[in-house]
Amino acid sequence: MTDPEIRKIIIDALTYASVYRVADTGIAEPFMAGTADIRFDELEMDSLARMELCIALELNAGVSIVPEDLDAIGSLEALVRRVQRG
Amino acid sequence: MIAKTETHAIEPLAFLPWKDAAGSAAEDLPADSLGRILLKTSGTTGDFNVVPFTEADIGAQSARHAEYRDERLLRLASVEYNNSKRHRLYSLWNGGTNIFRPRTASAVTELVHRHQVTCLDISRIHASDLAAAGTGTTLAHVKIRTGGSAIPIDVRRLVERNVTPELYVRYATTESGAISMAGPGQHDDDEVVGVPLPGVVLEIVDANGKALSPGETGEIRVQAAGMALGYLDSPTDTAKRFRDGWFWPGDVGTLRADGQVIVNGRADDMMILNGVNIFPAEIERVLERHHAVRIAAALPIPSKVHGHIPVAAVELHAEATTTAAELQDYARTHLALRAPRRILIVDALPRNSQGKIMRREIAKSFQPAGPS
Repeated sequence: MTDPEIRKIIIDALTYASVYRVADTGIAEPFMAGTADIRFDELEMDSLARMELCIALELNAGVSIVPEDLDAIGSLEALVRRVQRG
Repeated sequence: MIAKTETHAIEPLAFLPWKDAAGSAAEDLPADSLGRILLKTSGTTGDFNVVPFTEADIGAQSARHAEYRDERLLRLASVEYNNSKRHRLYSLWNGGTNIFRPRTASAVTELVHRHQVTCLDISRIHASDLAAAGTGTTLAHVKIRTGGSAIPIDVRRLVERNVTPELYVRYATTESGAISMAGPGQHDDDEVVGVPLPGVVLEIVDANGKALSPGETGEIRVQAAGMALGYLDSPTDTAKRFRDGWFWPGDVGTLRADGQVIVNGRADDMMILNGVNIFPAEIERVLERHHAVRIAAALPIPSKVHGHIPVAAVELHAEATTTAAELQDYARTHLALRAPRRILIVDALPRNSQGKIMRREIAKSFQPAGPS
């Protein structure tokens, strides 16, 4: 799975889960291009959104991440690297 | 077929190495408990069982189809399918008329007209197709019978409006014969399958086998005249499905206060996504309401973190166009947390020899690409 594919899965999942901060911060496009990052605590994700993000990564990238671990992972960019490691 | 009075004169076939759940050898069984009418269950996982019935069993099951006496029955499925085989026998037993589809393909409406068919037994998919196409008044006086899997209320209403008001939806298993049947005036929002037929006892029980009150949901168990005693050469499945004098079809359902049965789905098919119970049927029902979708199959992808992640594959109507993303949005609007998280559009869903959709085959299409 390529880097752009992983980024797309993440943005699609956050959009699907109605994480409005993704749109508010205008992060989607620069994150897709690999030029901007955002921390999870800035995204204001509720528990359902965290669950949806983890479901999408497991289903589409084959990587299992527990929702509670997202804060420890830190940011969207760090999540991309975590998914790349498998 | 052998006359009822001769049933007990039949010697059991010695070469059948059948043992019952308790391990009794065939020769220990009373002569009439070893059936020589062998029907194959329609496994959707590639496995199947063989169910032995005596002629008396088939006769007892036939009593729940006394209406066949006056019917001219056309079934489109070949008698090679056990369901067709059973119903042809029921019709024969009751003195009804069996009409067979000729080898050369003919339109159903033409066959019905030419052979004065009064009862047409078709699959749920065929019923949907007929309803979508509309048949004018051609089949308006014909009874349509269907069953085998959940028939969404939308499909039923469409059949009643576009094909015939005489719609019957049956709940039955190979092992028990007919359990219940919903007829005209009984199809409502709950997608019911009617009240248990005479000769059938149906209970809804909890995980400990305790009978539940009307309105509560639990596992279905039945006792029915003419029901099988077990499977041939399959002690594990026999012990699982035939317990305490009951047959356990493996379905989850509810008995309504008015006596009608609702079948929610297969207990084995139920998904649990982070504690939320989801039946494939509820997802399929919503997807099949979408104008482009002909038929949908929902299934779980096992997850160590979430339990089961629901996904779905759909077949579209001819010339219909939509995208997986559009269907995804549609499903999410109607199902929220219960929505499938991925939807695949396929040319044809994999089916077994009896036309049932094989969900395990579909699951293979949902393997993630994985990290590179």
